[in-house]
Amino acid sequence: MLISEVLLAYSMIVITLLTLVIIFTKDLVNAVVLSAAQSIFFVIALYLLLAVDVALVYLPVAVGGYSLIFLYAIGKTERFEKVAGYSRKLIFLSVMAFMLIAALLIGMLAGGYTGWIPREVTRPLARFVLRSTINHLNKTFWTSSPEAVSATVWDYRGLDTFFEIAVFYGSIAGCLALFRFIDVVFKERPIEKADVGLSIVAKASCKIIFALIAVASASLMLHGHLTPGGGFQGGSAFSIALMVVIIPLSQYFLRGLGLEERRLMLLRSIGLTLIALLILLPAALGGYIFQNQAKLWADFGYPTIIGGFWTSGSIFFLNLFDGMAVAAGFAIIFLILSIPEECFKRLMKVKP
Amino acid sequence: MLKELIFLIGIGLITIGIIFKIISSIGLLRLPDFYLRLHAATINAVGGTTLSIVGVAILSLVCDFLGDLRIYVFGSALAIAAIILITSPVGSHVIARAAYKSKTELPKYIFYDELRKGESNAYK
Repeated sequence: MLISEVLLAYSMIVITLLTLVIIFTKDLVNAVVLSAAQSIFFVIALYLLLAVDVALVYLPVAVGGYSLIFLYAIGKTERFEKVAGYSRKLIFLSVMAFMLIAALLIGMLAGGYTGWIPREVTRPLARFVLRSTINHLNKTFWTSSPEAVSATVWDYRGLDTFFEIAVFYGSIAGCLALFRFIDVVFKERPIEKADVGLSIVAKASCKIIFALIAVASASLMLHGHLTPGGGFQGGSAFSIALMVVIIPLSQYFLRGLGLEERRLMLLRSIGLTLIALLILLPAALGGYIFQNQAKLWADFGYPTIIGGFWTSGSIFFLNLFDGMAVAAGFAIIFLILSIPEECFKRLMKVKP
Repeated sequence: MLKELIFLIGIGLITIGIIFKIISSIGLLRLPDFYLRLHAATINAVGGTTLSIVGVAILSLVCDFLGDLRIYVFGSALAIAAIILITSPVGSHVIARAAYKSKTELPKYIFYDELRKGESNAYK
C-alpha cells in the first residue's frame, strides 16, 4: 500500500468523525469552525486523488466563503441551536452507516482496485479442470463427466462437498431436535380431510404443476453429470414441488400418503448411507476416499458405462443419492414449518 | 412466402399481446373495485403474456440466425406459455377467494353471488 493511500484513508476517516461532531454541536460558531477544518481535509483528499484544480478552488471557497456566509447568517439570527430536527439516535445511526460505507469504500480503494488487479484470463486450476475432466486422450486425471461443475463437486473437491453436506444435515438434525414433539400435535387434534386445503381449482392446477416440477427436478438429478444440474439442485427443486402441494392440498395430504417425518428421515438416512458406502468403497479396495476413476497410483475405478448409460463413474449415483437425501431433508423442514405456532405453544404450555 | 406468413403471424400475436397489456394497465388504473382490478391484472397475464410468448415461439421458427437453437426456443417458449396459462388464473382465483372469505374487500358491483348462496354465513 502506498503512503498516499494511507493518507487518503486517514483524511476520509477524520472527515467522517468531524461530520459526527458537527451534527452534535449545539454552538453554531463552533460548527462553522469545524466545518472549515473539515474542508481542509477534503482538500487533502482531493489533492491525493490528483484533482489539484478542484482542490485549489475548493480551499478558498469552502474555508473562506462558506464560513463568512454562515457566520453572517448566525450573526443575524441566533448562535445556539435549540430544536433538533431529527432524533439523536437516528442521526447517530445514519452517521455510523455512512462511516461504515466510507470505510468499506476506502478499504476497497486502498486494497482492491489501485493495488491489485483481478486476472482477466482463466485461472490455471480452472483450465486444468476444463482440460482434464473428459480428456479421452489423457486419462490421468479424468473424471469421465462432461459437466465440469459436477466433476469438481464430486470428484476433484469431494471432501469439500462432503463437509458442506455434513453442515446441511447437521442443521436439519438440530431443527428436528427442536421440534421433537411433532407426533403429539397430530395425535391431539385429528383433522378431517374435507375441511382442509384451498378450492378445487387451486388443487387441480397445483397437481399439474407438481408433476411438471417433479419431472424437471428428476431431470436435474439424473442428468446432473452430463448437463448442468446436480443432486442438491434437483433435490431442492423436488422439495419445492412438495411445497406447492403443501399450500393448496394441506400437509395432511402428504401425511395421508405416508410422507411423515420419520419416513422422510429414513429416506434421508438411506441416501446418506449409500453415499458413505460409495465414497468408502474405493478406500477398502486399494484406492482412496472419494475416488472415482482409476489413477496411476490407485488402481480402482468405477465403471464409466453401465448398461449403455453413461454414468460418469460414481458421480451419477452420488447425484442421485444426494438428491434423494436433500429432497427428504427439505421436505421435513417444510412439513415442520407449515404447522401453526399455536399448536406447539399449546403443547408446551406456553401462553400464546 | 410461408416464412413471411409465419413471421407476420408471430408479430401479430405479439402485437395483440401488447394491446392486451395496455388494456390491462388502463383497467388497473381506472377500475373502482378490488375484484375488478384483479380481473384487469389477470387480463395482463392471460391475454398479454401468454399471447406474446406464443408469438415469440412462432417467430423463433423463422429466425435463421438461431440455427438449430430455434427448436429449443420454440419448445421452451410454448412450455412457459402453458405454465403461465395454468398458474396465473389460479393465482387470481385464490387471491379473490381469500379476499372474499376473509371479508377484507367487499365487492361493490355485484348482481349474483354464488358463494354467498352456497354458504349462508360466508359474507354478510
